[in-house]
Amino acid sequence: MASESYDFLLKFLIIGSAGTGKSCLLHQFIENKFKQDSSHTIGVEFGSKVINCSNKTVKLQIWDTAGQERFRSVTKSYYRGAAGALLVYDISNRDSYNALGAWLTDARTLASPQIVIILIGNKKDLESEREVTFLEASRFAQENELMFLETSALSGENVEEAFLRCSKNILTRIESGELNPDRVGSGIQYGDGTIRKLSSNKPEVSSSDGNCGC
Amino acid sequence: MPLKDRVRHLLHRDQNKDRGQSATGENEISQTPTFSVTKDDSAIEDEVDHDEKLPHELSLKIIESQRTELQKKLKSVTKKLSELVLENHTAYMGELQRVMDLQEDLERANVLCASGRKKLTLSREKFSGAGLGVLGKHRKKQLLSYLLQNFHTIKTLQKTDIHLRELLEEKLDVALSKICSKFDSETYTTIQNAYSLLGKNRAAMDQLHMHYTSAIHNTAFSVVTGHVEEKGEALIKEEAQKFSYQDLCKKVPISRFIECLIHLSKEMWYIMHSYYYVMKWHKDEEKNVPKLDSYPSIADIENDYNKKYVLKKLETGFTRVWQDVQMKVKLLLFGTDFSSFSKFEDLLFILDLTNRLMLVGEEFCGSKSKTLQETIRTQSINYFKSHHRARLDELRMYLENEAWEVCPLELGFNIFNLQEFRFLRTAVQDANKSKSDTNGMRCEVNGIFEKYNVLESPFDCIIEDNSPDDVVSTDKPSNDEPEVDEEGKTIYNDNDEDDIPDELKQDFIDEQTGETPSRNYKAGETNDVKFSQNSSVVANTTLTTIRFFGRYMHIMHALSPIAFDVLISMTQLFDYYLFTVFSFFSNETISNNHQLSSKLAATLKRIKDNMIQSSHASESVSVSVDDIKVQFPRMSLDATLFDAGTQRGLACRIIATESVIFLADKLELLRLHLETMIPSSKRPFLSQFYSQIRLAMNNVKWDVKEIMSQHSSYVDLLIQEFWRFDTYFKSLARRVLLPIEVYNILWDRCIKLANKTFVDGFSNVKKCSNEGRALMQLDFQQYLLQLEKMTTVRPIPEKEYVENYVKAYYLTESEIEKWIRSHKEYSSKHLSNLVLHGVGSHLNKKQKQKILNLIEDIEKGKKS
Ligand SMILES: Nc1nc2c(ncn2[C@@H]2O[C@H](COP(=O)(O)OP(=O)(O)OP(=O)(O)O)[C@@H](O)[C@H]2O)c(=O)[nH]1
Ligand SMILES: [Mg+2]
Repeated sequence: MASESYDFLLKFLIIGSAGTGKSCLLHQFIENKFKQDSSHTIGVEFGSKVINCSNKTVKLQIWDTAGQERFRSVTKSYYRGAAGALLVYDISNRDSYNALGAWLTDARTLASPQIVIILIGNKKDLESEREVTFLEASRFAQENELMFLETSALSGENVEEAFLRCSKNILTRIESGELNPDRVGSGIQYGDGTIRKLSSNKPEVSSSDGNCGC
Repeated sequence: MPLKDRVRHLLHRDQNKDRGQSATGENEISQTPTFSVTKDDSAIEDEVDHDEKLPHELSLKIIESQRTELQKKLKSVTKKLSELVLENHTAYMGELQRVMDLQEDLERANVLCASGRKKLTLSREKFSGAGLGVLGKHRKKQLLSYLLQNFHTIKTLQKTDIHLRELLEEKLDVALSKICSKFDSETYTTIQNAYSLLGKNRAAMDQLHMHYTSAIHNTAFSVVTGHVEEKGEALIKEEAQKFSYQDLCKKVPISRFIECLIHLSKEMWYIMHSYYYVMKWHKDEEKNVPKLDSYPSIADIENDYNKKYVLKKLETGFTRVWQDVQMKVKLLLFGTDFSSFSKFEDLLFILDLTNRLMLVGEEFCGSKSKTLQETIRTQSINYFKSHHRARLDELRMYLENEAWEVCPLELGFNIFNLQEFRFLRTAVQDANKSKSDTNGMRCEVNGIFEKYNVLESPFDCIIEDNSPDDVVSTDKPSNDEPEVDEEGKTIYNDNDEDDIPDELKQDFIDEQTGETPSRNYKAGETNDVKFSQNSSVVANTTLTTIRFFGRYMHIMHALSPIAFDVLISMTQLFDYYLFTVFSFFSNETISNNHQLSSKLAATLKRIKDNMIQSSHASESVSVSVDDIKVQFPRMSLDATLFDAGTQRGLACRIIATESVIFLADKLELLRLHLETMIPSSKRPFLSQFYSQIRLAMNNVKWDVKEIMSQHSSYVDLLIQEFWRFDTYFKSLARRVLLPIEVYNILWDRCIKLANKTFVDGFSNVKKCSNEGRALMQLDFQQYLLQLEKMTTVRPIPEKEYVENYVKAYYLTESEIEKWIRSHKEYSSKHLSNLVLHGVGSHLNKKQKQKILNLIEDIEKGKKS
């Protein structure tokens, strides 16, 4: 809410085929609980959380998209201006892995091409039903310049880590100048905290809505 | 020898004197000389004894001879004697001297003795009485101390007895206090019997009530202490004693609050449960005892009085115990800031818990639990304010990120399938149930206390089910995708519909016409353009808003005391949505007020004034919870997307508008439920709100299409634009099932606007020949022909508007005056241009001025 102060606000996406556990990942991340009775997301849902990352307070604005095909047109419109994305497949479902290519293209074309994507192999706990090996997925990640983690929304393993890693990567890129938060549609906004800290090197930044299109 | 004897005698006497000093006394001492004389006499007698040996014939001769002999003898004896005397004289003298000394000593001793005796007599006289007294007293003392000992023993015994009694009472008391938290009929009977024996039934009852009071306090205290954490560490008992209960309540961390509340409710329940059973025990006892007979004994009367006292006391106690319990729970509830509960589920859970507690209270003593209700009300308002604040901000988030894409819903979609509305099913069922068993209500009384035995409580089940949010989580209806179904994890199945009460079904039955929920949503992908009669055009945010409605209604349902506040907040959600759609898509028209109906304009203004933060208030200004003002919505997506000039923009506009209408429709659908949820006194507000919505809706349809068509500003491009519009519209219709109504309205508005544009354009022509006029007419005819090919809308609306205007160029001065008076639909600019550049060509200056004045007058007339 308005009283929270943070240094950066990052827009995140969670994408991937239906039933891979996107909503569960978000729920686990925000509530620290497994969402028992998750059913298919309609359209897009939203969640936010403030985390500490690289000595900065970062507010994540996370859009959890529906994986079902029929929502594709709705969800695509949310890609725009996302700074980071969790691309999720289900390690116990080969099809969800095979669909990664299409999801990736969508993300790179519809969101910014600079979008930082982390590949997530979810349902790590279903080891016995594994259909995608860690190795082949990490190779895919490498080829497509993605970060990669296997997670379990059920046990919570690596869930926070996934969001943290992605955020950290974005912050590093901001520092190195590779990402420019002031660029329209960067998916990055300065919070009130940043104005103070960065005022020395970025005196121009004074507005909190750097990417507002209007 | 006699001397020896005398001495011996004396010595002997001395000895006697010594021996009998105290007994004989002074007399003997004074008689000593006489005594010695008598002794001399006895010595003479000794010599006389010799004469007895004399012969019987006494002759002188014999006597003489004897005498001579005797004289001789005497002489020798005397000689001998004197010799002896001389011989012993020194010894005699020495002895005599010693006798003298002795006498002297004796005399001294005598004196001493005499004085001693005197003193003794004196002392005897003086002290022996007191001594006896002392002795006597001593003996008395001994006796008394013996007595004392006995008394001590008796006292100890008595003390022991008292102590034992105390111990007994204490034990009884402890047993009694244990009754408070766990009633055991057998124990209680024993205790009661014991008190009867002690004759303390009434005192025991008073005591029992004190125990209840302190049991409530102590239990509450320790329960809360158990949940307090200070700096992440549990509080030690001793530490806790330093704080008041109220302070402790404030220290319960929010994460443990619910757990603590359950725990407290449970413990309080045990106490009340026990109290209930104590009462029951006494009532049963009352029943079993026969009525007093006509001549009762004192004891009977006493007994009877005691029982009445006890029952009376117990009866009044119910309210007091419940009041105490309420206070404890109240303080705990107030200890936590409800606005910091991030999850609605948490609040619902707390409400549910308190409602249960109030139900218990109601059955316990018929109390309406004012205290708790007040508390819950205050705290829920606190919660709700921050909840609403967060929802408004979230809604803004959603709206600002909304891409106005149609969110494809199932054909069978109905909002009551949304998780958020699920509570309505149970609510309706409950309502039905309560309708059917109004008679059964009575037997329900006391049910709750009978239902649970000592170890159970109505708060048990909730603890086992420790994921309360499962019940009301932000879930969606199941959408047919098989994977989830197979795992059996979806909540909703199609047959779930059976659970929906008919009254809910009726509302959306038409949404399901003829179509079974299809897994593959292909309807829109065929090439035939078809317009849905009933499909819903909904954007993602619309769905979110409806979910919010569901939540708000759930809060209203759970929290009837604040239902009205919630309802108002709910209307604010709608208002904000409406306002946002307007500000995104028809901002231009807000400034051009004449194109909006005044009522709509007023509505928008009201929303803006009440809900929208003035633009200069920056984001960093912290918003208080009470402030419901939301920032002016800004599209964070590329605004050009929605540009009026693009067909994408058209789609967005249509979707946005339709979604507002959908929202309004759904609100209408919910009206029935809303009405039952708010107090009847507030119903007028609801109707007012609804009439406002309806009004707004009519205008929304009117307005948005209007803007949509503003792009067609060139007459010669108009047809082409229309072609594009139509093509696009049809392609859009392929993707989105648009109601035919939308199509028709759009065409209607387009045509009307085009007509207006024609008139605008024609009136702007500065110089124009009669041929030019003809051309205008021709253009318009051409346009109409083309138009009729494209649209099914018949008749072409308002074509006379353009035709009449063009024809007016040919009118004469007198005709034109009449014409102007009768055609109020044209603006004064149109009219004056007509006079100046059109008709004016064959009029003189004066005539022109006259007509212009007429136009001005008419204009004034319009305004006033
Ligand atoms: N065993 C296991 N099951 C999981 C895990 N994460 C999610 N699931 C299950 O996978 C199913 C789908 O989870 P969701 O989070 O609803 O999937 P989603 O990706 O959001 O699906 P859409 O909203 O349709 O795109 C649910 O039944 C979850 O219980 C996990 O880490 N382990
Ligand atoms: Mg989901």
